[in-house]
Amino acid sequence: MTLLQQLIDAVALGALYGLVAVGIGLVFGIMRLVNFAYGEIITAGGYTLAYLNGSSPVVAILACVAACIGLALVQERVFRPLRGASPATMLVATFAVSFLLQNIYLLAFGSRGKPVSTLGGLNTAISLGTLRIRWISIVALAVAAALLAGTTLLLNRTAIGLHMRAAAADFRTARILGVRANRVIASSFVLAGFLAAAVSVLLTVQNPLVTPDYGVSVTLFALVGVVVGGLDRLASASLGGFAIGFAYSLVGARLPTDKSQYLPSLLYGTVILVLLLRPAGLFAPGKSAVERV
Amino acid sequence: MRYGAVPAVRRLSFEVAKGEIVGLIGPNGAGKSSTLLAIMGVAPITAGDIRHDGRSVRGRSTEEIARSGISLVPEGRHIFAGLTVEENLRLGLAGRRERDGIDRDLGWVSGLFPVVHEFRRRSAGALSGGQQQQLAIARALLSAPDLLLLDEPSLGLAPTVVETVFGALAEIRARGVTILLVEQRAQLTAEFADRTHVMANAELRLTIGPDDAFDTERLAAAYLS
Repeated sequence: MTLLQQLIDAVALGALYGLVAVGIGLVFGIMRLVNFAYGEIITAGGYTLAYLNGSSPVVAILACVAACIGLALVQERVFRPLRGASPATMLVATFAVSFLLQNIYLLAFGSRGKPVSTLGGLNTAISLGTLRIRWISIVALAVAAALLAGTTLLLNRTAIGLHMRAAAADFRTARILGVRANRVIASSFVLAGFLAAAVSVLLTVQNPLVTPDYGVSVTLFALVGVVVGGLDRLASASLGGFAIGFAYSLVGARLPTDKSQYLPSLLYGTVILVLLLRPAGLFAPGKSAVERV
Repeated sequence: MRYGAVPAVRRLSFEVAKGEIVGLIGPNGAGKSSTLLAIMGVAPITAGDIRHDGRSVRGRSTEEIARSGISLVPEGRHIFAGLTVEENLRLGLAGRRERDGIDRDLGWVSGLFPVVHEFRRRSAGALSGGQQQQLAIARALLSAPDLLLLDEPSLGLAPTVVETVFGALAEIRARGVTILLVEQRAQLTAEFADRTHVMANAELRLTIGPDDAFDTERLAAAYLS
C-alpha cells in the first residue's frame, strides 16, 4: 500500500506546483514576463504566517493573502514599465527583484528560518485500512482544484477575464478596443498574488520552516513544469506544474535515501529531453491557433 | 509623425465634420494607416495636434481615446481568432462610455451583419475573411463611437462582400456616426465619401468630391507626385 500512499502525497504536491505554474503563467500570458521573483511572494506569505503563529488561523490566512497581493502589486509597479521590453531585459529585472527581496528577508528575518505552526494540525493523518492520508493532502488537492476552477471561471465568464484573454492574445488591439492596459496587468498580478498566498498557506503546513529562499525552489521547479507543459497555455502550464510536482514527490519517495541527491538531476534531465523532443511543450497542441491565457 | 528618422506623415491637416464620411486614399506607404494610428494614440505625433470634439487627444493613452468615442477597425481586421465571435463582440463593449443601449446596439449590429449574429458561437478564427471584416466593424460599432475609423476594410475581399461592407457603412452613417475611411480603392471611395483626401509621400496632395471620382488624370497625378 505504500505506493498508493506515495501517489496520494504526489498528487497533493503536484496540485501545489500546478497553482504556482498558473500564477507564473497568468503574468507571462499578459506581459510576456517570466517572473523569477514570484517565489518571493510565496516567501512573504510564509513570513506573515510565521509572525502570526499565535493568532487565529483565519486572521493569519487573511494577513497572508493581504501580504502576497500587496507584494504582487509592488512587483507590478516595478515591472509595468518593462512591458514590450526585450525578454532578456525582463528576465534580468525579475532576477534582480528576486535577489533584492531575498536579501531584504535575510536582513530582516535572519538566515535561520521562522517556523510556521498555524495550520500544523493538518499534518495529522486519517487511517483508511493500512492507508494513512494526511489531512493536508486532501486540503491541498481540494483548495488547488477549487482555485483552478475559480481562475478558469474568472477568465471565461467575467468581463475582466475576457479583457485579460484578449490582452494576452493581442495587447495592442485590445487597447484599441478600449481595454485598460494597466488594469489588466494589475489584475493578473493580483490573481497571481492570491494564488501565491494559497501556496504559502498550504506549503508551510508540509514544510514549516520559512527561510529567505523559501520560494526559490518551488518557483524554479514550477517553472520547469511550465516549460514542460508549454508556457503559452494556462491549462497545459498548470498541467506541467502538476506533473513536475507529482514526479518530484513520487520519485523522491521511491528513490533510496542515499540516492536522493540525484533527484534534481533526474528532473532537469527530463526537461532537457522534453525541450529536445517537443520544444513547444509536452501538452501543447500541434500548430493550431494558440490562446495564451 | 515619424518612424525613426523617416517622416511617415508631414504637414497633414484636415477636418471631419460630424456626420460626414471622409475618405483618405493614396498609394502604399503614403501615410494613411499612420494617420489613423496617430489619431488612436498608438503611434506618437512629433508636432501638431489632433482634436476630437474640441479636445486634444495628444498625450492620452490608446484606451482613453477609444473610450472617448473614437473607434478603429484596424488594417488586417485583428479579430481575436482564439475567442468566439460573441466574445469578440463583447470586447467591443470595453470602449463604451455608457452601459445603457447595449441590447439596442447588439440588435442593430446583428441586423447590419446577419452572418456575425448567425455564427456568434463559432471561433472567430473559423470565419472567412469577409466575415471577419464584418465582425471587426460590428465589434467597433459596439463601443457606440461618434467617429469610426476604418483602415482598408475592402482589402482582400470578394466584390460582393465589398458591396455589403460599403452598404453597411452607408447605414452606419445614417445612424449619425462620422466616418473616416482609409482605402486603396480610390474611385469607389471618392464616389462614396463626401470628400476624399489624396495622400502621397507622407503629405496631402489633393482633395476631391464625389463628382471628381472618375477624373483619373488628376488622381494619377496626385498619386505619382
